Amino acid sequence: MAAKLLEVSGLEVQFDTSSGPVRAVRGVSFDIAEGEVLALVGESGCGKSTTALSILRLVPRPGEITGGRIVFDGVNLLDLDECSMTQYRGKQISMIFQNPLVALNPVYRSGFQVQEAVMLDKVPPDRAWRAALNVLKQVRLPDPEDRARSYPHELSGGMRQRVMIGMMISRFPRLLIADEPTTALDVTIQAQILDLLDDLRHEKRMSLLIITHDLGVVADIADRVGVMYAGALVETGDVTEVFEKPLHPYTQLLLKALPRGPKNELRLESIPGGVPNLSNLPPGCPFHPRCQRRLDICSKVEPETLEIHPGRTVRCHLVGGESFWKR
Amino acid sequence: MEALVELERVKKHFVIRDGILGRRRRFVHAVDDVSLSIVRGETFGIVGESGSGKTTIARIIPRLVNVTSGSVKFSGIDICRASGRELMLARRRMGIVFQDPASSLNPRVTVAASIQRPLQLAGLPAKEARDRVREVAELVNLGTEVLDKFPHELSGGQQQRASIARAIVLRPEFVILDEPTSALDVSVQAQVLNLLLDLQQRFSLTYLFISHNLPVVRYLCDRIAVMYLGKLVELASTGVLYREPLHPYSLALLMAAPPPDPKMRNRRRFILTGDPPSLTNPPQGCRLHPRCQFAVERCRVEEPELRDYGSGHLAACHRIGDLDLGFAM
Repeated sequence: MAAKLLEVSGLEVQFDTSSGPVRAVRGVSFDIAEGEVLALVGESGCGKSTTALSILRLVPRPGEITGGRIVFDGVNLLDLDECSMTQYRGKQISMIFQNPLVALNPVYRSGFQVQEAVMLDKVPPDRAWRAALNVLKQVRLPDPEDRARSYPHELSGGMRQRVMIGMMISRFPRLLIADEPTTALDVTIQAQILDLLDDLRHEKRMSLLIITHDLGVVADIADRVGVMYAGALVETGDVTEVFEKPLHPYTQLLLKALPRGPKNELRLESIPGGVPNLSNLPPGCPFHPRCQRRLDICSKVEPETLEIHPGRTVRCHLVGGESFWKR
Repeated sequence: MEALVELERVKKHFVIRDGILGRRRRFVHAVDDVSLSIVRGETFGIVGESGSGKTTIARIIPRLVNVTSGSVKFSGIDICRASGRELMLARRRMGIVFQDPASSLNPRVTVAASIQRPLQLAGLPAKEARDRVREVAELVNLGTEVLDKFPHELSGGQQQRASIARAIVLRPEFVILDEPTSALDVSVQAQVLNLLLDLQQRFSLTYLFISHNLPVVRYLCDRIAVMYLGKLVELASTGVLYREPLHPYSLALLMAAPPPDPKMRNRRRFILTGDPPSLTNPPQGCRLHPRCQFAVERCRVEEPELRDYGSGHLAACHRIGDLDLGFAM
């Protein structure tokens, strides 16, 4: 088994709002091995993006990491001072965002923004420019020489995302975090970007953490998957295992809620109610009001995370009790 | 089969002014020569990426935008030439649900008032209108306690249900659904799709469903029109389109969204290269040719016509005879 590059354990993130503290991330633990692709999947407000930002210690105020450990290559990032943390951001761990138009600087040419990133490693400007062109070629930007001289608004959505990916891989990070990298793109462009990420991960031997709400993206690219609900990781495991034998009722329903054929073949399973408000979580398991298989205990006690076998965890009272093992 | 909505050679060009003092005029060919008809009782889907013109078509039918040329008929009424009163009466027989429920409900009035507004405009007495609002809220599974709230107090799913309630409150025959689920979470999307199916059965509604989400369109629609840069490139019944797509763009679109199944990871793929070109300056000939791996010289110069390949399966591509794109999805 490959060495663990990143180990997150018991991560807690809290936002202090006017209506009291909101726990956006509640005891999240996962790890990523060298060269592995982990996807965190969940609906809006489940804490997946906040978890990703925590790794870079970029949680926006009034959010604050209040507990847990984020160990990257043997170092707990939460112990570092701001100056040492800068050595990790962009260099060891970098991140691409959902909307490249917001993330790229509109007043600088796209090539310069990549060059600037390379120059952070004390590379002279001319060599950095050549490196930037090279990296833009690697992300398969058409006409890289011309495009490097274009401003972000002159590029299409797909090209902007390529420039951003180029900027983020230009310093050879060991972990790339991609927060909804294809959500703002059209489907034919999404397919291109997913292929690119998959190729880069093999070529550069990067680990990849993908944050998405799209189970199709997860199935397409991830080795392992973590399903989040209401700030907690409710199920993790190998992607094939989770899709074929989901253990948590939420994962099971989520997979059945996706249309996979015409209406006359199968009626969609719908999950009653909506995603809970994090500032006002129901007691016990946060999913219990929407769960058709809930037990009495579910509304009282929040289940613990149970490890079925290494790398396969679930957080549900239905799993792990005596009844589960007898079945 | 009676056509409820008929579009004939519809064109819509938007003018963009730029240059000094806006003296340079350019045209965006948002919808370019599209003819189609929607049969009473069916769910007709339009799919395409951003800029394909699908939303413009949704707005042309109730004449929220005027066409540049061509004709639009709704149940025999010529929408483009209808008088104010005729148009108003025709519009009462249509409902629209927009993509973003948060911005399509008035934030300053309660949900009940938003749903009641079309009834007021139609001149229904207030008491009857209130009863009808409650009735329709029940139909869309919106609790009565929600009715007195303001839109921002509702979840996305509840907001979209309120929009649907407003769209059907006048008991229309025809409902235009413009990306009604794309702002919703998966678990909520399923609720809304099931609701739409139930309402359709109960009131024999005709739907125009517009989306870029292929699995959702496949689930809901009886027939699908595929659009690219303002052009209709293929039209077929859902089953036929998935079994035997004729146009390379349809194939690319159908195969682009990764299926939620890790075992399908090594499926046959067909990926278009490049990006969609600018709408103000679409390519000559077939609009897909710069991105199409099958393009030949003819595609670059001559625009393909939409032809019927049997039982209403229309496609516009020069190379249909030479290619076999058929595959089982």
